[in-house]
Amino acid sequence: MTLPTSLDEAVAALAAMPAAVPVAGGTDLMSAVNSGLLRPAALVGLGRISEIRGWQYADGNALLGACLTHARMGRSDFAALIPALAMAARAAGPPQIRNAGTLGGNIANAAPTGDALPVLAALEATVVLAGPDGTREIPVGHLTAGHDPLRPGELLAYVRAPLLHAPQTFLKATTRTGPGRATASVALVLDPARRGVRCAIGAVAPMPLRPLEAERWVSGLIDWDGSRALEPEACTAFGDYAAMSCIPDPAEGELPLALAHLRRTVAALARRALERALS
Amino acid sequence: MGTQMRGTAAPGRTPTSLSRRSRTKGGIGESTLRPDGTLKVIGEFAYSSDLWHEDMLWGFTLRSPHPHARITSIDISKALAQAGVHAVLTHDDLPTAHTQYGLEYTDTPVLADGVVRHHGEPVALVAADHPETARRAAAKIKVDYEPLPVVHDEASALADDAPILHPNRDDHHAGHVPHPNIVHRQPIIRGNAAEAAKRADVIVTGEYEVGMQDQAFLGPESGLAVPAEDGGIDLYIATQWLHSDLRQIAPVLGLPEEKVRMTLSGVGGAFGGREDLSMQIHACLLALRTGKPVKIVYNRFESFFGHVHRHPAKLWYEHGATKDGKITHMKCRIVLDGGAYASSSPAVVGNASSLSVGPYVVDDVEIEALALYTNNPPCGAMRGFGAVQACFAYESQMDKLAEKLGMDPVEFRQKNAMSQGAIMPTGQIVDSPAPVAELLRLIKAMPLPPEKQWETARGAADVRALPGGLSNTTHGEGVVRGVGYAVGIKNVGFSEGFDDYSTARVQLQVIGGEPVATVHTAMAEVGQGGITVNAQIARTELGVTQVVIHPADTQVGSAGSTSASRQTYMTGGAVKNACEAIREKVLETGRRKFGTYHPAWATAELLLEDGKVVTDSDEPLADLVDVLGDEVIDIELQWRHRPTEAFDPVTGQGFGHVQYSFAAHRAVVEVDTELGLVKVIELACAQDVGKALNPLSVKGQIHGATVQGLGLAVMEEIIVAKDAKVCNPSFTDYLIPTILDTPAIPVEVLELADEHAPYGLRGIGEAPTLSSTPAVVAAIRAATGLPLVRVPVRPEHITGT
Amino acid sequence: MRLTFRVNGRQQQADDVWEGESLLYVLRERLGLPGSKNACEQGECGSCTVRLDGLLVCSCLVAAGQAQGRDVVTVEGLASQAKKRADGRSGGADGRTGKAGTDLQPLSPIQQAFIDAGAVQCGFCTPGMLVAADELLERNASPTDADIREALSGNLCRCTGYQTILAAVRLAAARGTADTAGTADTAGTGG
Repeated sequence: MTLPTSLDEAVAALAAMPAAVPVAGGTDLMSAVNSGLLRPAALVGLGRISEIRGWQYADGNALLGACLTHARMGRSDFAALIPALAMAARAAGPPQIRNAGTLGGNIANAAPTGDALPVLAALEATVVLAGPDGTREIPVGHLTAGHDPLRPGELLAYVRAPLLHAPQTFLKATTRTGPGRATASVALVLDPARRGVRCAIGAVAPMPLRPLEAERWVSGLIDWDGSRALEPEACTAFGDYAAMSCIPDPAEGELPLALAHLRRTVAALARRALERALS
Repeated sequence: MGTQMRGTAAPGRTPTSLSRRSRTKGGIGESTLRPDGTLKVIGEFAYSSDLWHEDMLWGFTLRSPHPHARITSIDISKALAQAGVHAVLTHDDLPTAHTQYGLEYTDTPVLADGVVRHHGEPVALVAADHPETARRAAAKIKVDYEPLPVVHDEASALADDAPILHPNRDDHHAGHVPHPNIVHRQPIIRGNAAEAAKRADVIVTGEYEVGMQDQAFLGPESGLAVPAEDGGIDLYIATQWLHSDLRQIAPVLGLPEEKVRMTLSGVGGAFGGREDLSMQIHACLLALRTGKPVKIVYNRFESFFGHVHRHPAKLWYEHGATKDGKITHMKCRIVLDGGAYASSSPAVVGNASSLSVGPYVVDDVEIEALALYTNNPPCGAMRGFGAVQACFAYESQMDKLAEKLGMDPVEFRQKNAMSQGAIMPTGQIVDSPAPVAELLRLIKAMPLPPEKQWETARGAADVRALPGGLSNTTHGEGVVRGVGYAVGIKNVGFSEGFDDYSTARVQLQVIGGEPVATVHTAMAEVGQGGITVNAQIARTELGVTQVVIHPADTQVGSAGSTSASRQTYMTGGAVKNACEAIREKVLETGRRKFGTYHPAWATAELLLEDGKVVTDSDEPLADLVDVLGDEVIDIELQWRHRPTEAFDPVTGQGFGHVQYSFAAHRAVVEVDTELGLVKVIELACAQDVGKALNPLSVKGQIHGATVQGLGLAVMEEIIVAKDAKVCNPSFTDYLIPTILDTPAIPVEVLELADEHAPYGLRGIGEAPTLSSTPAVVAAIRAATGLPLVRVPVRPEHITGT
Repeated sequence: MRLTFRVNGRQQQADDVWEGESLLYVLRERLGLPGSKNACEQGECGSCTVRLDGLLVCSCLVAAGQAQGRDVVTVEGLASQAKKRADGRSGGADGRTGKAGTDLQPLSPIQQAFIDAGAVQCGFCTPGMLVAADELLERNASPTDADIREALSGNLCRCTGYQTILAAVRLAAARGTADTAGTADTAGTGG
């Protein structure tokens, strides 16, 4: 295993060994190795690159190191910065997983149930990729969807997320009270500067989904210069609207029971997310 | 034995039951600490997966990806050619014509014999110098399968054109079953249900379903087989019953039983899942073939395929009751899915059938229970086997009846509760305490947890106390509370005429100036604390403080299985029995040596206490050290509970069970009704334990059983698709309760002695698993108003319309 | 590859470690420290829990190479770790027990509490549970029940229903508080 101590060294190591797999927390990678799904020929460990383990401020944004752990993001100083990401980090698993798993790992693995992903989608965050020819920046979704995959020798270095200075929420549904994978999750952020509500639904599709029309509709209802409060019926309607747009009715026939439950779940989560953000 | 009387009068009586509490420290009734506790907390207790041997190889099992298929060819050449591989074995390599094993029927192939009957069935074995090498080599074995039609439920198993999964059956039930794909069927007819139904003012029917639960013990199947110079084998293994394993292993290896020497290694939980063989024969075969020690350790994925599960069940019930709340009759039909091989299905059928009424008095019944052969994963023993499934159904019926009658569900149950002297549907009279109404009264009288218990002092919500926990799902939105009750009945020990016994060898001698007892049994300590209790019994009976527990192995007679709530009763009974024989010998020696010094030797009731022989009025007669001198008293004895008899194959009548055990639960749940998430807030239990030999261990059993019942109620199920493939063999997808899912469990214990049992004790490990599940579901029903006829209750059952 | 790192205060070395090998495998099979258990190898059960540079992790999900040059504490090292902590609190004096070796430490407070409270049945979850509970008490001397539940939510137990485990952590906390306060016996029975 190669253990670079800087981004440049890491990029050089990856460029030199095209078959090498970068490993940060290892929570996803090793679980695949242990179950026999992955046989890495070489690993590049990212744990010593201190420049990507913290965060810095840049033009009203936060530049988050890819190796920020869920545990670190769950702490109160980070929660004051990007509350929804902190809530997702707290929900990401038990302490052992939160201590190891990283923001970058969540993005690189792109599992539908990755808890940070809907938050990043709602934030409209971007990733900064470091490669042999310098850095480039693309929306998180372009990377996770595979539209614009990592190029040889390229490494996910930072996530750029806006600092919105307004309420944000993250909720997920699981099937037990202890740690578990999301069956559905909702991230919702208020962007008072742009007078917008942005929301993303996780775990119900391969990628987080944005109910854009529901967002626009509800953003128009809010008195951004006043109390921002909405009638309960409006929040319910927003939840239903968001859920319907993620899980539409089939062209013909009834919605299967499992999907009907999922839609109800998304509707309840989205409604609660909005209520909490506006309260 | 040659008792020497030495011309004295009749020897003093040796009490067979202690009429007073022993003064010897660390005896029964005390919460003495586990003898293996220290090793376990420092990480040095050797579990079967921790064993290591010089020159050891690792075994790996190739399993079938198909639930039902013919094997047309197997090519092992590429696997054999891989560096580091020492052996690859298939069915053709088995050393004898004895190629099947099984707990009750010998129907399970050691390695697939031309046909695989369930997803995950072992097909080939590899031994290599590194587990990863073995795994990669197994992937190179080329097996050609020709898929066969799949039998996956009652309709497909009993269809006219159903494939017969086990043609040419020769088991003892084969002659009584209506179809060869029925493993066993047990009807019970008592009174006249049709006639009694006419007296009913209300009739309530229901169809219930129980999902397939996994034991999910934490220590995966594992063991080490070491070939011996005499051509035999030494097997270090985690199991529930050494001698039953031995009986099944030896003939397959072609070895006499004395050449298969088994030693129990550390067992990481069992709950029924280690009653059948897993890797035992496989490791021995590889070791004998390679001449090297072979270790096999399953990972979690393989463990889900490596042991039997709890039978999923469909249950049809009809009850009638009069307006004043007396049950008139009960009819039921219980169909259990036994999967591809019999395992302990016959016993599960017997329990489901004979306990299907529950702890109630119902004189007129018509009962049928059966288990199917299908291509689903094999099912067998799991804590509460057979009784768990029935309890969910009859307790659901009790709530339904009470509601229909407009009665309080607890009062309705109490009105129909059995008590000592009641007659079971099998005609057996319950001849020891059966405090069913009292247990219900105890749980109902406990204070309820405060409302909105999630609110912190500052008024904010602590999400950890709410459904969904840190997923931040609810801060109280949509949350409704419900309370539910249930009670159950479980048999203790092996039933239906089985010759159930245990063996104990006890030695008493002076070591370093102190009397020391050594207790040697083959009892599998799987975590339950049997070794703690055995030492307590020896202290109480022999009046010594030093007790050595010899490792369990096959050098001593069988202890029977660590299952069916039976080991404290059975091996505890055997240890007590052997100690009594030792005491007899001690007193005999004492009389011989010192009888002339004190008349009490001849006349008084003598006891051993605090290292002395004392009279029943506490007068010391001699030190044990002086009585024993250099003598080593060494006795091995078998001990049996009172005999039982088989149920009549047509009427189900018979004295089938040794003892019954009762527990009741009250569940308090909070349900996020919009998302269908349930958090159990409190799960109170009351149980009659007869006599708590170790109160701390008793509570530990009740807590653990209660939480396994909670798991079945709201989350645990092995999902088997219609094509009989297992969908969720991992702890990511098969969820068990975490500490955040587990409520406070207040426990009330009754100690009403069963005069037939040692010290009056009752087997306790299973009963709380029964009532926990229906209590939780009753509470969810109370919170949601939904009928909920299936466990586990999933979120979509709650949010569905 | 060759791996060198510290385990329970001792320098350790393992050779021919393959890239995908887990820290758990190295500890158990190469270093003879089988205290950390292998029950799921997916990070779901916590029975392989160790401290890596002080942080609680599942050793089955740590690629062994990531531990290069770092400090690992397993259940086998809990007693010495507790002693080191206690000595640190009492001003670093190391002369109290008079024993030179580190192998015969008395049990750590959390280990003793697990025994006393009856928190051990089959014991397979115990090592990971202890490492996690010890870490909790290190950063929070008097945790609430909810704190204990959160801290141990990654450690599955199938035997105890967690009741005696909660009791054990409360007991160790009470004894620890009693120690610090210098009072005689406020530990009670841990019920």
